[in-house]
Amino acid sequence: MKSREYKKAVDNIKCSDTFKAKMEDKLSSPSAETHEYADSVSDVERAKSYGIKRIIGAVAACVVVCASVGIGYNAFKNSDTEPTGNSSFYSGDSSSTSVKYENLPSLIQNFPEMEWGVSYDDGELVRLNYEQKKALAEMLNKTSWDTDIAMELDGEPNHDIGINLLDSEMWYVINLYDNGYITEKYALSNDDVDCFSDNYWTVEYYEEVYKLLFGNEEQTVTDEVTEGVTEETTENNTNQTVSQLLDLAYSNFTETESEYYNYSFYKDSGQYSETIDKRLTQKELDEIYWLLKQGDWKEKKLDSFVYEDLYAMGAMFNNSGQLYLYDENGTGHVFKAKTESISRLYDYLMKFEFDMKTQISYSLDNFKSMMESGEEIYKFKAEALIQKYTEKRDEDSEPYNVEFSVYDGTISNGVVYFSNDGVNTEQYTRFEGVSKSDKYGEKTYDMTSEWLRKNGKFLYTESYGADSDITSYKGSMQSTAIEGKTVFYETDSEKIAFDYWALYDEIPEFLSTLKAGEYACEVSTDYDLSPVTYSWAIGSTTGGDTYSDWNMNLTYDENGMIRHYDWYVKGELVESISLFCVDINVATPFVPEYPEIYDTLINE
Amino acid sequence: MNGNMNIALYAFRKYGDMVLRAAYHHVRSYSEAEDITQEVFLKLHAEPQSFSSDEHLKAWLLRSAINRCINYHKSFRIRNRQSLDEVNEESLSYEFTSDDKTVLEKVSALPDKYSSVIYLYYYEEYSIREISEILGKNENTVSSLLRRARKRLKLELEEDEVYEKQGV
Repeated sequence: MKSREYKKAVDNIKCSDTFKAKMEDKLSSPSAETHEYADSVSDVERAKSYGIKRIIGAVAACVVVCASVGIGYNAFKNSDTEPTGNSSFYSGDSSSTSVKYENLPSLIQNFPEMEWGVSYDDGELVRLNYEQKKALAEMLNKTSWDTDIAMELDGEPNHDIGINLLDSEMWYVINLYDNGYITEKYALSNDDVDCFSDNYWTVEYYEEVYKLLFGNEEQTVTDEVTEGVTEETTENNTNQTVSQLLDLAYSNFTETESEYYNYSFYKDSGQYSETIDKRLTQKELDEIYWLLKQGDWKEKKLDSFVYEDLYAMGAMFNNSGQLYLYDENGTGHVFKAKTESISRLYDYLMKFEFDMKTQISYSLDNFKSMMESGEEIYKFKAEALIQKYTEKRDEDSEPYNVEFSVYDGTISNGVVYFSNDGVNTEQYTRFEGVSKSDKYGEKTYDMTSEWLRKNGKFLYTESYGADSDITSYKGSMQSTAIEGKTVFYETDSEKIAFDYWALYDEIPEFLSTLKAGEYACEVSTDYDLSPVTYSWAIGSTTGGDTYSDWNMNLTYDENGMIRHYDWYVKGELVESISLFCVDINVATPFVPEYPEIYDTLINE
Repeated sequence: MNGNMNIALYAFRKYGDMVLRAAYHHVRSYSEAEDITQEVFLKLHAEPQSFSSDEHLKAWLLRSAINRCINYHKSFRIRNRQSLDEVNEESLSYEFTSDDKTVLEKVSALPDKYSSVIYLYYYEEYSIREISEILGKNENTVSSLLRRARKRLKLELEEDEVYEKQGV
């Protein structure tokens, strides 16, 4: 790809004039006023959230609501009278054309066949009788819906009229906003919105419809639910809402996430964009959601949510005690808990965090503590790269031509540089007994090569397409452990041929017996976070190019058991075996955990 | 910076397109990129901050946008809003050529950390060091990501035979 071509493509991405105008308006206002629509990421979404609330209720029950809820109509009153006029319309005469759901004019023409309901702002839906439908349909029919009129909106909308058309198969809703904005939506059979469009009409048009529906009476919407409600009642209602939203988040999360990788739970530290994934067991997931439900929540403004130090699994919650949930309309809600009410949750999460950091990412502090205790040192994502070396700080060491790069860590000349995906780096001398001398690098090479011989077979790194390798150079010689599963070679001329067919029967044993001089084995993983396919390839590497003489693709199930593998030798499928069961303790969706996998495989 | 203009408005006028582009690289939807762009600037508007320079402001905006994009991918919300994309594509103020679209699709299809680096390096022309500060990553990590992204991108585009095999 040529960079200029990429730049040319990107140049074309610009804010539209509409978006610019909207943002100018919002950002020019005092910040308090912008909050009103802060949760409305666009007029489209705001309109959607208005419409769908009503539609869901309407589709479910096609509600008939008494005018006593607070919406008064002069021109329209709820009526159950039989329609008058052309009975053939109402009876659904076969001469009627079939409804074209995507075409409002057709719907208007077939108005007798559908239920029509209107509402004002968030008020209840009121069903129209035949005469009322007819009158409104005639008014709507006056417009030319094929004409795309682009008008300047008259400020932000304050009120809207919803006109809902419903039958057993679909619903269609038009929202007319008092700033001249119109949206149209329809959905089939309780499904999600299938089609959406927005138009600009005129304020006058809105006023005309308003007058037809409500006359000159100013509409007010009262909410009986809030009358006489105490603060305590409100909080109880909020907690009930949170509980419902958590249920929704839970069901969505488990329904979708488990399809790919069980309950990936990640932490985003915000500032450093550090994300840590951990697979949760069902029990852990249930416990987290249960703990969240115990919280005492109060709803806050949407834009108050802090996108730092947050955990996400359907719901998002952060260390500030905030919870971010989506309702069934996709509208976000932010809640804040009294810290003490969710302290148990954070205690629980801290345990995860420690586990996550030791397994997936790492912290310098954790590494230090492990070093000081003399225990097995911090595990890289590949785990157990170097064992039982004591920490030595060597500030005067200089880089040599010996370098190991493993994802986020670099070992150079026996000195390890940690990064933790952040900005903190410290140096540690990793090898016991290493002293500064002219042969510093050679000594390090020998030590690490020896270690690789012993332990380099099953080095795992985090996937996501990482191609980390551990390579030590000594002149023309090279030892490389690439992406986990294997080993290294000295030079091409010293490669030892091996019997391909031996692999057929003896994979685990073969892998455990690889020695220097064998072909390098390269592991590639699926970049797309699909969890279960894991490919190994063994081939030769010459001049930087790797080609595979032998490939094995392993498929794991959700429990980490290998269920299938395909063998290719020189590009031809040799064998396709199912139920090759190796119990692997899969710590991540992609990578078996060392050293259990190693022990398991060689003991099979 | 105009002292009479609030920081968010100033930032939007100067860097609104940039934030949109950064967001688009992740979410691959113009409407969602707009959403994220709006969130970034509204947050700044609600909680103004001081910046030592325009470059500081720019870096803050990019990081904020990229973080939101990362959250976006993790949210089930996107599954409820796919239908909007089709319609909102009509509101784009530009037209992609087929090659443009292929290039952008390939970049956007990379994992977040790769597409961010590609965008910041090739389009915004940040150095490795600057990218590491924006993304909060070690320079070695950024170099490695860039290298892998190039490799991956080159393979992807070669499959499509869109571009000649030239180094990026």
